[in-house]
Amino acid sequence: MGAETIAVADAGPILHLNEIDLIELLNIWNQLLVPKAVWAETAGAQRIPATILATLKGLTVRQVTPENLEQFIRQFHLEALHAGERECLYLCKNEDVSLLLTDDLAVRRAAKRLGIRPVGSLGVIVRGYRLGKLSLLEARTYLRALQHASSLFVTPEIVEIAIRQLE
Amino acid sequence: MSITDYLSSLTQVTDQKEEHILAQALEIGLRQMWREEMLARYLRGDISREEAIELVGIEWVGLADEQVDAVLEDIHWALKQ
Repeated sequence: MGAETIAVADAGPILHLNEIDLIELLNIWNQLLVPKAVWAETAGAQRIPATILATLKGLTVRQVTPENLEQFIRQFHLEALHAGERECLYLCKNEDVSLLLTDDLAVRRAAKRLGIRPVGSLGVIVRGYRLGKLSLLEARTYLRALQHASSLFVTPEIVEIAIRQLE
Repeated sequence: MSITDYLSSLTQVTDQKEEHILAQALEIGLRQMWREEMLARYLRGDISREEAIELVGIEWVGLADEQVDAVLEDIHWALKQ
Protein backbone atom coordinates (compact mmCIF):
# COMPACT_ATOMS: atom_id res chain seq x y z
CA MET A 1 0.00 0.00 0.00
CA GLY A 2 1.17 3.53 -0.78
CA ALA A 3 2.33 6.14 1.70
CA GLU A 4 -0.27 8.30 3.43
CA THR A 5 0.71 11.41 1.49
CA ILE A 6 -1.95 10.27 -0.95
CA ALA A 7 -5.64 9.83 -0.25
CA VAL A 8 -8.79 9.11 -2.17
CA ALA A 9 -11.73 11.35 -1.24
CA ASP A 10 -15.41 10.50 -1.16
CA ALA A 11 -17.97 13.32 -1.43
CA GLY A 12 -18.74 13.57 2.31
CA PRO A 13 -15.52 15.09 3.67
CA ILE A 14 -15.24 17.43 0.65
CA LEU A 15 -18.74 18.80 1.23
CA HIS A 16 -18.64 18.83 5.03
CA LEU A 17 -15.25 20.52 5.28
CA ASN A 18 -16.34 23.08 2.69
CA GLU A 19 -19.49 23.79 4.70
CA ILE A 20 -17.32 24.86 7.65
CA ASP A 21 -14.87 26.80 5.40
CA LEU A 22 -12.06 24.33 5.99
CA ILE A 23 -11.67 22.62 2.64
CA GLU A 24 -8.09 23.86 2.29
CA LEU A 25 -7.18 21.41 5.05
CA LEU A 26 -7.35 18.69 2.40
CA ASN A 27 -4.06 20.16 1.13
CA ILE A 28 -2.32 18.18 3.89
CA TRP A 29 -2.24 15.39 1.31
CA ASN A 30 0.19 15.91 -1.57
CA GLN A 31 -2.16 14.07 -3.85
CA LEU A 32 -5.92 13.78 -3.48
CA LEU A 33 -7.60 11.44 -5.93
CA VAL A 34 -11.27 11.98 -6.69
CA PRO A 35 -13.14 9.56 -8.95
CA LYS A 36 -15.33 11.01 -11.67
CA ALA A 37 -18.52 9.92 -9.86
CA VAL A 38 -17.53 11.90 -6.75
CA TRP A 39 -16.75 14.93 -8.92
CA ALA A 40 -20.25 14.54 -10.40
CA GLU A 41 -21.82 14.35 -6.90
CA THR A 42 -19.99 17.47 -5.71
CA ALA A 43 -18.96 20.06 -8.31
CA GLY A 44 -21.04 18.43 -11.04
CA ALA A 45 -24.19 18.67 -8.90
CA GLN A 46 -23.23 22.24 -7.92
CA ARG A 47 -23.02 21.29 -4.26
CA ILE A 48 -19.61 22.96 -4.25
CA PRO A 49 -18.19 25.40 -6.83
CA ALA A 50 -15.55 23.81 -9.09
CA THR A 51 -13.42 26.92 -8.45
CA ILE A 52 -13.15 25.94 -4.78
CA LEU A 53 -12.11 22.39 -5.63
CA ALA A 54 -9.54 23.86 -8.01
CA THR A 55 -7.80 25.48 -5.00
CA LEU A 56 -6.80 22.01 -3.80
CA LYS A 57 -3.34 21.76 -5.31
CA GLY A 58 -3.08 17.98 -5.28
CA LEU A 59 -6.57 17.19 -6.52
CA THR A 60 -6.76 14.88 -9.51
CA VAL A 61 -9.98 13.57 -11.03
CA ARG A 62 -9.74 9.94 -12.13
CA GLN A 63 -11.91 8.19 -14.69
CA VAL A 64 -12.65 4.59 -13.78
CA THR A 65 -13.02 1.93 -16.47
CA PRO A 66 -16.63 0.67 -16.23
CA GLU A 67 -15.79 -2.97 -17.03
CA ASN A 68 -13.11 -3.18 -14.33
CA LEU A 69 -15.38 -1.41 -11.86
CA GLU A 70 -18.25 -3.83 -12.47
CA GLN A 71 -15.98 -6.79 -11.90
CA PHE A 72 -14.63 -5.18 -8.71
CA ILE A 73 -18.16 -4.54 -7.38
CA ARG A 74 -19.18 -8.14 -7.98
CA GLN A 75 -15.98 -9.55 -6.53
CA PHE A 76 -16.26 -7.59 -3.26
CA HIS A 77 -20.08 -7.43 -3.01
CA LEU A 78 -20.31 -3.65 -3.09
CA GLU A 79 -23.69 -3.47 -4.82
CA ALA A 80 -25.35 -1.63 -1.90
CA LEU A 81 -22.96 1.33 -2.10
CA HIS A 82 -23.44 4.45 -4.22
CA ALA A 83 -21.51 5.08 -7.42
CA GLY A 84 -19.01 7.49 -5.88
CA GLU A 85 -18.35 5.20 -2.94
CA ARG A 86 -17.74 2.19 -5.19
CA GLU A 87 -15.37 4.19 -7.39
CA CYS A 88 -13.47 5.44 -4.34
CA LEU A 89 -12.87 1.90 -3.11
CA TYR A 90 -11.88 0.78 -6.59
CA LEU A 91 -9.40 3.65 -6.93
CA CYS A 92 -7.83 2.82 -3.58
CA LYS A 93 -7.26 -0.78 -4.60
CA ASN A 94 -6.32 -0.08 -8.20
CA GLU A 95 -3.87 2.74 -7.44
CA ASP A 96 -2.51 1.25 -4.22
CA VAL A 97 -3.77 4.08 -2.01
CA SER A 98 -4.14 3.07 1.64
CA LEU A 99 -6.28 5.98 2.84
CA LEU A 100 -9.91 6.76 2.01
CA LEU A 101 -11.61 9.92 3.27
CA THR A 102 -15.26 9.09 3.92
CA ASP A 103 -17.98 9.97 6.41
CA ASP A 104 -20.17 6.98 5.63
CA LEU A 105 -20.26 4.05 8.05
CA ALA A 106 -21.13 1.48 5.37
CA VAL A 107 -18.16 2.64 3.28
CA ARG A 108 -15.94 2.48 6.36
CA ARG A 109 -16.93 -1.15 6.86
CA ALA A 110 -16.26 -2.00 3.22
CA ALA A 111 -12.91 -0.15 3.26
CA LYS A 112 -11.69 -2.04 6.32
CA ARG A 113 -12.72 -5.31 4.72
CA LEU A 114 -10.51 -4.38 1.76
CA GLY A 115 -7.55 -3.39 3.95
CA ILE A 116 -8.02 0.36 3.36
CA ARG A 117 -7.93 2.84 6.25
CA PRO A 118 -11.04 5.00 6.34
CA VAL A 119 -10.84 8.48 7.86
CA GLY A 120 -13.75 10.87 8.35
CA SER A 121 -14.03 14.64 8.50
CA LEU A 122 -13.39 14.67 12.25
CA GLY A 123 -10.20 12.69 11.68
CA VAL A 124 -9.07 15.13 8.99
CA ILE A 125 -9.45 18.04 11.43
CA VAL A 126 -7.53 16.20 14.14
CA ARG A 127 -4.80 15.33 11.63
CA GLY A 128 -4.61 19.02 10.72
CA TYR A 129 -4.13 19.80 14.41
CA ARG A 130 -1.46 17.09 14.78
CA LEU A 131 0.44 18.48 11.77
CA GLY A 132 0.33 22.02 13.18
CA LYS A 133 -2.07 23.40 10.57
CA LEU A 134 -4.64 24.17 13.29
CA SER A 135 -4.26 25.24 16.91
CA LEU A 136 -6.04 23.30 19.63
CA LEU A 137 -8.60 26.08 19.89
CA GLU A 138 -9.19 26.04 16.12
CA ALA A 139 -9.47 22.24 16.07
CA ARG A 140 -12.07 22.35 18.86
CA THR A 141 -13.99 25.11 17.09
CA TYR A 142 -14.03 23.29 13.76
CA LEU A 143 -14.99 19.95 15.34
CA ARG A 144 -17.99 21.63 16.96
CA ALA A 145 -18.78 23.43 13.68
CA LEU A 146 -19.03 20.04 11.94
CA GLN A 147 -21.92 19.23 14.26
CA HIS A 148 -23.84 22.51 14.05
CA ALA A 149 -22.79 24.09 10.73
CA SER A 150 -22.34 21.18 8.34
CA SER A 151 -24.70 18.56 6.93
CA LEU A 152 -22.67 15.75 8.54
CA PHE A 153 -24.82 13.73 10.92
CA VAL A 154 -22.86 13.68 14.14
CA THR A 155 -24.18 14.18 17.65
CA PRO A 156 -22.75 16.75 20.10
CA GLU A 157 -21.80 13.87 22.41
CA ILE A 158 -19.59 12.25 19.76
CA VAL A 159 -17.91 15.59 19.01
CA GLU A 160 -17.20 16.05 22.71
CA ILE A 161 -15.71 12.52 22.87
CA ALA A 162 -13.37 13.57 20.04
CA ILE A 163 -12.45 16.84 21.76
CA ARG A 164 -11.68 15.05 25.04
CA GLN A 165 -9.14 12.92 23.14
CA LEU A 166 -7.26 16.07 22.11
CA GLU A 167 -6.98 17.55 25.59
CA MET B 1 -39.80 21.89 0.26
CA SER B 2 -41.50 23.70 3.13
CA ILE B 3 -43.42 21.92 5.93
CA THR B 4 -46.67 23.09 4.30
CA ASP B 5 -45.57 21.57 0.99
CA TYR B 6 -44.80 18.23 2.67
CA LEU B 7 -48.19 18.26 4.39
CA SER B 8 -50.04 19.16 1.23
CA SER B 9 -48.20 16.53 -0.80
CA LEU B 10 -48.75 13.81 1.83
CA THR B 11 -52.49 14.50 2.05
CA GLN B 12 -52.70 14.08 -1.72
CA VAL B 13 -50.55 10.95 -2.13
CA THR B 14 -51.93 9.13 0.95
CA ASP B 15 -55.49 10.37 0.66
CA GLN B 16 -55.53 10.99 4.41
CA LYS B 17 -56.77 14.03 6.31
CA GLU B 18 -54.33 16.72 7.41
CA GLU B 19 -55.04 16.16 11.09
CA HIS B 20 -54.29 12.44 10.78
CA ILE B 21 -50.96 13.14 9.07
CA LEU B 22 -50.08 15.80 11.66
CA ALA B 23 -50.84 13.36 14.50
CA GLN B 24 -48.59 10.74 12.88
CA ALA B 25 -45.85 13.32 12.33
CA LEU B 26 -45.99 14.36 15.96
CA GLU B 27 -45.72 10.76 17.13
CA ILE B 28 -42.82 9.94 14.77
CA GLY B 29 -41.03 13.16 15.71
CA LEU B 30 -41.42 12.59 19.43
CA ARG B 31 -40.22 8.99 19.13
CA GLN B 32 -37.13 10.17 17.26
CA MET B 33 -36.41 12.96 19.74
CA TRP B 34 -36.79 10.57 22.64
CA ARG B 35 -34.47 8.01 21.00
CA GLU B 36 -31.82 10.66 20.31
CA GLU B 37 -32.00 11.87 23.89
CA MET B 38 -31.63 8.32 25.27
CA LEU B 39 -28.62 7.69 22.99
CA ALA B 40 -27.11 11.01 24.08
CA ARG B 41 -27.54 9.98 27.73
CA TYR B 42 -25.86 6.66 26.92
CA LEU B 43 -22.93 8.36 25.19
CA ARG B 44 -22.53 10.77 28.11
CA GLY B 45 -22.38 7.79 30.45
CA ASP B 46 -25.59 8.73 32.25
CA ILE B 47 -27.15 5.32 31.57
CA SER B 48 -25.61 1.89 31.01
CA ARG B 49 -25.47 0.06 27.69
CA GLU B 50 -28.00 -2.45 28.96
CA GLU B 51 -30.40 0.31 29.92
CA ALA B 52 -29.91 1.99 26.53
CA ILE B 53 -30.60 -1.30 24.72
CA GLU B 54 -33.77 -1.76 26.74
CA LEU B 55 -34.91 1.78 25.94
CA VAL B 56 -34.11 2.09 22.22
CA GLY B 57 -33.06 -1.37 21.01
CA ILE B 58 -29.77 -3.04 20.11
CA GLU B 59 -29.70 -1.66 16.53
CA TRP B 60 -29.59 1.98 17.60
CA VAL B 61 -27.15 1.37 20.42
CA GLY B 62 -24.96 -0.64 18.01
CA LEU B 63 -25.00 2.25 15.55
CA ALA B 64 -24.02 4.72 18.27
CA ASP B 65 -21.20 2.40 19.35
CA GLU B 66 -20.00 2.13 15.76
CA GLN B 67 -19.94 5.93 15.39
CA VAL B 68 -17.91 6.29 18.56
CA ASP B 69 -15.50 3.54 17.47
CA ALA B 70 -15.08 5.27 14.09
CA VAL B 71 -14.23 8.59 15.72
CA LEU B 72 -11.79 6.99 18.16
CA GLU B 73 -10.09 5.08 15.33
CA ASP B 74 -9.80 8.30 13.32
CA ILE B 75 -8.30 10.19 16.24
CA HIS B 76 -5.85 7.42 17.04
CA TRP B 77 -4.68 7.52 13.42
CA ALA B 78 -4.68 11.33 13.25
CA LEU B 79 -2.57 11.82 16.37
CA LYS B 80 0.17 9.38 15.34
CA GLN B 81 3.56 10.64 14.17
